[in-house]
Amino acid sequence: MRVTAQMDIEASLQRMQQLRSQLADAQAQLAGGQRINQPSDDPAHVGEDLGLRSQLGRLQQIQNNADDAKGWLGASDAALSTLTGVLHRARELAVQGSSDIASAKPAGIEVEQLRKQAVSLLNQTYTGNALFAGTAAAGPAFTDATSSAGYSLTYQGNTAQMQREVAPGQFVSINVTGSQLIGGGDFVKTLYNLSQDLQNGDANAVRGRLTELDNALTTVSNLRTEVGSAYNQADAGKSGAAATAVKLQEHLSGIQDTDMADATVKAQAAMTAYQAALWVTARLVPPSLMDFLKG
Amino acid sequence: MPLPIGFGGLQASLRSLQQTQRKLEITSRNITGANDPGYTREQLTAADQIGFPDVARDRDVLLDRNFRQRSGDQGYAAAQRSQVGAVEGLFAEPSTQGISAALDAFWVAAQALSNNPADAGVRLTFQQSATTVAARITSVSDGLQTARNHADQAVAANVDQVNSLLADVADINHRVVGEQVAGRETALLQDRRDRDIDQLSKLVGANASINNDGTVSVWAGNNTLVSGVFYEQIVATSGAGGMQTLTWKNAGIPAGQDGGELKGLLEARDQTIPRYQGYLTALAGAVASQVNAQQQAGYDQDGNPGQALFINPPGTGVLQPGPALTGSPRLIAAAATNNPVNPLDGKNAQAMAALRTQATAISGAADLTGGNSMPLSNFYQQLIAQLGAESKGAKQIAETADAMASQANQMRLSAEGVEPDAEALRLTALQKAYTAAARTISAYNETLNTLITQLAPGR
Repeated sequence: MRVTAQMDIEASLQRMQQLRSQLADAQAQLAGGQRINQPSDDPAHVGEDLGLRSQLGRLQQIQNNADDAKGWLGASDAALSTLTGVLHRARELAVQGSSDIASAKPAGIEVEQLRKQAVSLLNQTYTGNALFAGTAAAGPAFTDATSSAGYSLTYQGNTAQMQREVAPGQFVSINVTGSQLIGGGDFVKTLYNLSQDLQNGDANAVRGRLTELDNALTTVSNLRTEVGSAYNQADAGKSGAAATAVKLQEHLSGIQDTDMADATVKAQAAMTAYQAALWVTARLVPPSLMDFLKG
Repeated sequence: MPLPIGFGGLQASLRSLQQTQRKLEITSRNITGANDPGYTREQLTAADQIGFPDVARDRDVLLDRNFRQRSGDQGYAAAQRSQVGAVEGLFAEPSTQGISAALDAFWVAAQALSNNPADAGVRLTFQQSATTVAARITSVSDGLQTARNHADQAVAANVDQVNSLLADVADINHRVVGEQVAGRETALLQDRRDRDIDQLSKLVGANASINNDGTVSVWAGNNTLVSGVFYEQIVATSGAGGMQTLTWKNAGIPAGQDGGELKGLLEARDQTIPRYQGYLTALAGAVASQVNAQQQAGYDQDGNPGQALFINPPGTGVLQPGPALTGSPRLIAAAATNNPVNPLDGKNAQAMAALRTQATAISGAADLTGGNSMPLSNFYQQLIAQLGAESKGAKQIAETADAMASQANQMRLSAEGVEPDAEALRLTALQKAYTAAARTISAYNETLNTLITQLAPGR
């Protein structure tokens, strides 16, 4: 085959352009650390790549949700735990006061303090929002008043349950509402009445309050069980999401990250080929028989 | 037997000198032209050796035709590749700057809002994430329209080039005939005409044949573009969507249908880019209708019914910020109830976050969805996967077309180009021939001289 000057030029040019573009691709992969820099780099996996990124964002948010849920539930549990202690102490004082009339009056005064503590517990807040007011306003969940008609406690909240997604598609309720707490029996009013009865030295009336206190303890205990179970779900959801995120991240890395060893070898090979092409071209173009003919 | 002494030998030597000079001239022209693109090697024809002034160009019609066909394919594939590549670049996927990342951030912000609907900062973040979704979708839509306009401008530039090349070929046809009649050389003119036709093949998929009178006929498809001094022109008129419609002036049929860059550009302008515009319109429409419907199902922080988050002008891939985005963050409808106003009610925001996985009927993109409902993100992922596959395919086709055209060009350059070593060899041979002829004359001179002086009377 005749090899003409134009062929040399065209072929060298094309070879160098090809090698240069291979080198640029290899360099882009190495520099960005990403194997897929545009959809056409791997059309079969680019959709999965986007899906995994999306999933990872969602799992991160789910962990945030679970943390938020744990915060609410933990605060609720702490308040309910203290409330259980308050109710137990009131029951002890009632039992004691009903048998030992001498201790009844100071017991009555202590129960009044316990009542105040109970109201304060019911009005606990978490991040500035009332714990036991449902979704209602940030004011206190309960207000109380003492008048000639006696003691009254008023619930300011609503019955709404707030939910958090703690695992994909799995929601837990994060709040105990005031209605759940005092719906079965207004134990704050019971404490008020107990205090009055003790101070009045009415042993029979005091004994009558014991049933009301037992009911209240059952209610609070049941609610604590619910809260504890929801807390555990949130906790499990969070660790599950974290573990899944690690697996997805691994998978995403497999799809998306440059195999550094492979890319380095390819870049090196492209570089070598490119240099060889430059070397050959530099030497190929000038010489011809012309250079060796003496005039 | 008498020795014939005459001047016939001198005449023969003179002729040899002249011919060698002529060959030297052609060889030196070949050597000079060796590196000029489109230069065709010249040789003396047999006819020329007995007096005609013309030289033969080493042109191989079949190799030329083969190359030009490949060149048309190459131009078409290259245009497609660069246009699809431009579309691919607009989407900027996969990255944190694409629509996918913006949608993800939006769903996350919706859920954060549902956790903490009373927090002004969380509301603001939600507004910002929605603004980003609108901005990214709109920006890609605008980019696609710009890409379409650029393709149209490239079409206009190609049309100008094609028209002037066609006129030039016809003009050279005219001049070649004239020069031949006047007995002048036309090789360089013909080289230029061949270069013109090479360009035409790349631009509009044209090809050519040579006629006995020295003119060429150029055609594309079934349409004659140049015949003798006649030449076609492309007429561009304003058509649908402000895009130019191309027509062959004489034939009255659509132009740019026969391959080459022009066909690639027209297909990108009229099919590829509009298809992605359609997908984006479908996406923008689905995002707006889904999110707005959910917004309007809820209540804002003041207990008023939710308002639209996005405004999607029908039939466009544009999302403008709606009243809930341009106004106060209090206007975001996070709550599902309004009476009384419950600041911690984030149920509606939760429902918005749930749109992430909710299958949605996406109208206007049946070729992607197969008519199936799917979550918005899945639809977008399919769109990107399809774009990737299309771009990769275009790249591979373009690479193949490049290789084929390059190979065809090598074949033709091998036959038509200048081989410097051969020319150098010829130069050497011609030098020797010239020296030999000169020697012969000198020998004759000596012989005659001897004859004349030895036989001179009076010596």
